[in-house]
Amino acid sequence: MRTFTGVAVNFSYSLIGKIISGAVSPHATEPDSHIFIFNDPQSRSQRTGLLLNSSSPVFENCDSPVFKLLGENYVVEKGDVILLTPNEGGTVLYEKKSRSNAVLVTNRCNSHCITCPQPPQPDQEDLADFSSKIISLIDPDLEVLGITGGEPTLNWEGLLKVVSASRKFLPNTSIQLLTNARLLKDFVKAKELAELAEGNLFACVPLYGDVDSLHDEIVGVRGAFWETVEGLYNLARVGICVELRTVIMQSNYSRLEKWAEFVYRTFPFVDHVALMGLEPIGLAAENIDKVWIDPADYAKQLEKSVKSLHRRGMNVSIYNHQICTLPKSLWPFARKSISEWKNIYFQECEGCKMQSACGGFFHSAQAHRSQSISAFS
Amino acid sequence: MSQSYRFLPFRFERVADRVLLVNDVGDFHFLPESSFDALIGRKISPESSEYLDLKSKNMIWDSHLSNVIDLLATKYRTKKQFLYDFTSLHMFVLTRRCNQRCAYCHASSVCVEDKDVLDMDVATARKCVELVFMSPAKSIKIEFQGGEPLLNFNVLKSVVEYSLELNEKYKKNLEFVVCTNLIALDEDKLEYIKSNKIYISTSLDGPEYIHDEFRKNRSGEGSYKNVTANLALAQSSLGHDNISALMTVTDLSIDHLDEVIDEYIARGLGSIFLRMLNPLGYASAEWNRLGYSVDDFVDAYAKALDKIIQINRSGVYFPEMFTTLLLSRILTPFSTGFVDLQSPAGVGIGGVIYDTNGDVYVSDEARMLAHSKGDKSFCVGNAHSHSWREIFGSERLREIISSSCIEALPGCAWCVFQSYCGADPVRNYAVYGDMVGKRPENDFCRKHKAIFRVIFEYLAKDDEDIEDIFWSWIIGKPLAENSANATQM
Ligand code: SF4
Ligand code: SF4
Ligand code: SF4
Repeated sequence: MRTFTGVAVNFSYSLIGKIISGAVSPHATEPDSHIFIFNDPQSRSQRTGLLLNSSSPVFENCDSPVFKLLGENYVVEKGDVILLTPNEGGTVLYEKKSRSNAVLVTNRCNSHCITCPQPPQPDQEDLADFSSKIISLIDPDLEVLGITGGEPTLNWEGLLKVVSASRKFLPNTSIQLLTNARLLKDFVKAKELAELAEGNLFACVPLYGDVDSLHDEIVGVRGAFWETVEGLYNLARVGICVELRTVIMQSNYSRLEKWAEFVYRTFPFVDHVALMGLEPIGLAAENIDKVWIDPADYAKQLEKSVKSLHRRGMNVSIYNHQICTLPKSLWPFARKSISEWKNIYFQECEGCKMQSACGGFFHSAQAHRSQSISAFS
Repeated sequence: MSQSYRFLPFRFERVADRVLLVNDVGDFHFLPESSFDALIGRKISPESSEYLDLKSKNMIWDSHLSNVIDLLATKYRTKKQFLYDFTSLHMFVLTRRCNQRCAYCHASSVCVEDKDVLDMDVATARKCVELVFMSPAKSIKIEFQGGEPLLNFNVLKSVVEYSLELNEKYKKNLEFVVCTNLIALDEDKLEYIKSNKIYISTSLDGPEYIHDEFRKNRSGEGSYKNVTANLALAQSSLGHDNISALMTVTDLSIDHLDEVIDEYIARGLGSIFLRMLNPLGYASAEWNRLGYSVDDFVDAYAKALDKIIQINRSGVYFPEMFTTLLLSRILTPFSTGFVDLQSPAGVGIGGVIYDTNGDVYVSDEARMLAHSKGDKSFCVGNAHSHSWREIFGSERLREIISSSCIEALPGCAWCVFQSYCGADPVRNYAVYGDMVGKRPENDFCRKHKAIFRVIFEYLAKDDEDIEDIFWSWIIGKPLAENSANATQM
């Protein structure tokens, strides 16, 4: 999530607020563009606070909370939801113009994926209340809201709370639940979730291999494969749409084609299959020597797998890949999937005419990126 | 060192110089002979990719057996889904009269103008429609047959109208098909067919000299000119997608299937179904003149399939429908009900045929048995005198069905193609006098075995172009159109 720094005036506690007018950028001068509102559901009172930049006029005798932004590295816009903490600065919790907004239910996880981008941590507080508060502030025209973690199903009551908040405040938004689906092997849970979500939730479930040993090795838990398989069948039974995902890495790329066929024969009901490039942060960065494989080195396997799923009538997408690492036949399947605040380009990309179609890189790709990056002229 | 994996049930046979393994849910895998020996000798190393392949395809297991079994059970249920659907194909013999006199007519149609005896009347038709809607199937297909069903068009209309009326209440996915030689088609009938979205299935045996050799009108003239003219008329009115044609391979066309295929494409027919002549009806009496051996048929089929694949390679989308059916069985996890080839057999529980007098037979062959030999063994009731429950819940039908599970039939039980094949208890009865029959020497089995081999030889090639073509047939549209998911950049 994006953060910014500043000085808190007139408040000594954390505030969640929504920008209700104008845009705040380092050089904006119109005073009315600096208003944000914060909402405290407990007291049901709405208070207005101000977000000021260095060139804003000074407000004398103002007793509302005021946050004076420092530095140049921030843009906040109308509709964004932000968190202000007196000592730690600000965080953008929801970015209106982004296509990948998500809330957390827990930081805990029951797996230890070798490529986990956000390594699990213990929770200090119940994140569900916090997330529900964010949801209550989001404009209801949002298309997709992610629920992520950790593993959201571990905080089951919290997950239900967040899903109902989304149904209540964002009735037209579809909820994208990132889950390893292991706990959904419990049919009652899957059903409860489906009933609450009323057809507005789809699950993105990673399955890294076509055999248990391969998948279990990657997620670090014996037996996880079969729990996920059961979870997937339960999701199908209760009518929740599924996007099945894999991350391509050293240990599984050679079986990618087998994986594709296995997915089709075993889970023909999945709505979407996503083949993802490695994001070299978190545990993936720590384990980089064990997991890294240059996309150019698995281009053949990727091409065969995508073609195999495509000819079987499955919806298939390639995420997190740079266009120049993909055979041309795969370009129609490549999506610009890296979140805006994460994606960057390198000097190899200079003048590349495919840049607007290309997903670019994760910020973290400094150290590990394909050897075959080269600009299209 | 002996490895600790165990086997899951699979059947095997040498195909395409390798060993083909197939399990109960239709997963298949080719192994070189030496690897197969290693597999059986428990010598495949758990680290090898072959081991993982076999595990992934549920041929062996090494842990979590109950999960593996649950998975297989789910896949098995999916494969046998047609059983949950129950009887969805309902064929109406509207008349036994015909305006053609085809040399090999299975239905042994007659030309006598004795409508009272040979046509279905409205009262009977309504009784049959009522039975149709008792079926629990969500999708109902009503197929008009004969004789030539257009000769009793008023009753066809009354079936359509009464069905639509009842469907207001039952809300089934209702489809109509008329199987007609098109000779009696006129503007009015075409208009009616169009406005009620009735699908046309017609017969065209090939170019004029082939078609006219066996398909003649009552005065002995070939019907080709008439049929093709009306086909064009119907195509322009209904659209090409709403008409298909069937062909019967004859002793004359068997060496000229390439011409037949060209004729189909030239006539704008989007697919072909290469059908072997069965020794039934008139064809049985004239088998010496018309018939050919299974081997001859399969040779001709293989050559024709090769040509059809070449045509598809060149960019023309043109599937062979029987191959497509078998490919769906082999390559997809889904259930593909096809009343003539499934296990348990589709007789009665997949499709059923109502004769002109309301007699209910489990298949067309069952009806022919009654008409040609006076043997009503496979008549399970009459629409006037029996209830749905009495017919479809009858002891007799149960007995027929339980004799047609190939999983338990000698020969089939250990056949590598079992997961994709089916049984025909009526044919067995007609040939052997019992519903079990004898395999592998009967023609039904020999034909299917040989066709499965032809198809698996193609699959063993691992040729991406062929896979693209086969899958486009299964999906039902050219690969280029299958691009909802591939966005243009
Ligand atoms: S990737 Fe997801 S499932 Fe795996 S450890 Fe991280 S949070 Fe858990
Ligand atoms: S050169 Fe850069 S912008 Fe161009 S395709 Fe490659 S990664 Fe993308
Ligand atoms: S009929 Fe023949 S080919 Fe079919 S399953 Fe039985 S033995 Fe095999």
